[in-house]
Amino acid sequence: MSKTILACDDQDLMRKLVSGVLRQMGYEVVTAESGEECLETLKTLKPDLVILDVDMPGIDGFETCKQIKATLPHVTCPIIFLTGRRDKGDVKQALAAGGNDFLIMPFQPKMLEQRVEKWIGQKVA
Amino acid sequence: MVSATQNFHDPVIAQLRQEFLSDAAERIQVIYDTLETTNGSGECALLAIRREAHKLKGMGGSFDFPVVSLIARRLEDYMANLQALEAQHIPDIKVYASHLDKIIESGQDLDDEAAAVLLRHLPAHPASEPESLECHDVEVLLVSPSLAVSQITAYALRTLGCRVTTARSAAEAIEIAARTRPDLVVTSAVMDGVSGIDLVRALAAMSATEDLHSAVLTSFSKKHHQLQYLPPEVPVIRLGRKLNENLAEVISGFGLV
Repeated sequence: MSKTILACDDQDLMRKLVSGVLRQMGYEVVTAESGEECLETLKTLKPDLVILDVDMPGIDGFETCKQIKATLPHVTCPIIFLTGRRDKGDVKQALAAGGNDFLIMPFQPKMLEQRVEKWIGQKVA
Repeated sequence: MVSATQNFHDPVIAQLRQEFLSDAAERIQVIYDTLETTNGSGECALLAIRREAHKLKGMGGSFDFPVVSLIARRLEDYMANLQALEAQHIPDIKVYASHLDKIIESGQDLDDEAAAVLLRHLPAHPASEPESLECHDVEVLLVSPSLAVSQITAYALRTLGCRVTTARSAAEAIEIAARTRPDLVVTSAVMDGVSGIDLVRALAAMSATEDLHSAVLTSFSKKHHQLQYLPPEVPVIRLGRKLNENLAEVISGFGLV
């Protein structure tokens, strides 16, 4: 049975890129357009991985992650942030929010593939 | 495990690439419109342009337009530390927008050689031209994971008349250096993962970057164990009150001015 990834990004194009890469790898992908939608989706979904854009209107990725940790105890999977921010302070903030990893944008699809495999690599027939 | 990227060149990606071009064209239009309608005023205008530059930077390289990301990154660097958009900035930002526009309209990213030339001719950060200092055609790639160190050092370099591109990690720096061929790479000695020491050694070892000048930024003394593998020809720039002086010595020592 394929593993499931929730990909949250306010940009339609990035959702398509991420979901396109991950579906070709054989994963099931559910998408969300905002931190709020991500939290709502996670009330009933228990994914194997969450990929979370940091810079979103409304609640950003860091705040979304904090709320996941605080209010959705059944969600125990790794969380990977997508961020265009690059400095050490943001990395610390990502880890403090409860994230497990981050991918700096722009990223090559191969890098996304490697990062996802690192956390939940699955064999595809 | 089947790699998605082994068969990634397919109609889906081609379609996404076209969507990127449309999306990028809209973002560039937002930049133009913001410049026209604000007529050189305000914090809001600056925030709006920053947002579009940030998004373009974050997407370009993912859709096979790495030079779009580089130009957008330089636009972000140009606007760094600005509090509000002023009339004097508008022509410069239009130049950035125009270059982005040309690439997006052509549907084809620039090659490395053309990119390096273009980047040298982008308008410099406003702090690069204080009244009494000369403006030099010196491109510096500044590598530091620390925002504070990066800002302080970038400011010092700009007051010396240099154009500065910033990177936060060795991996980022290698990609930018190979593509833009800066006159000088200044890197923090200590970085997570690949250190600054390893970075300068890597740059010297790669044919694409072996002729680039490098210097290491540190507060360590020369005898510190963290610097033991630093090649002897690589100068050390001390962080601290003599930073400007040290940078100036290194730049002139390499014959860049």
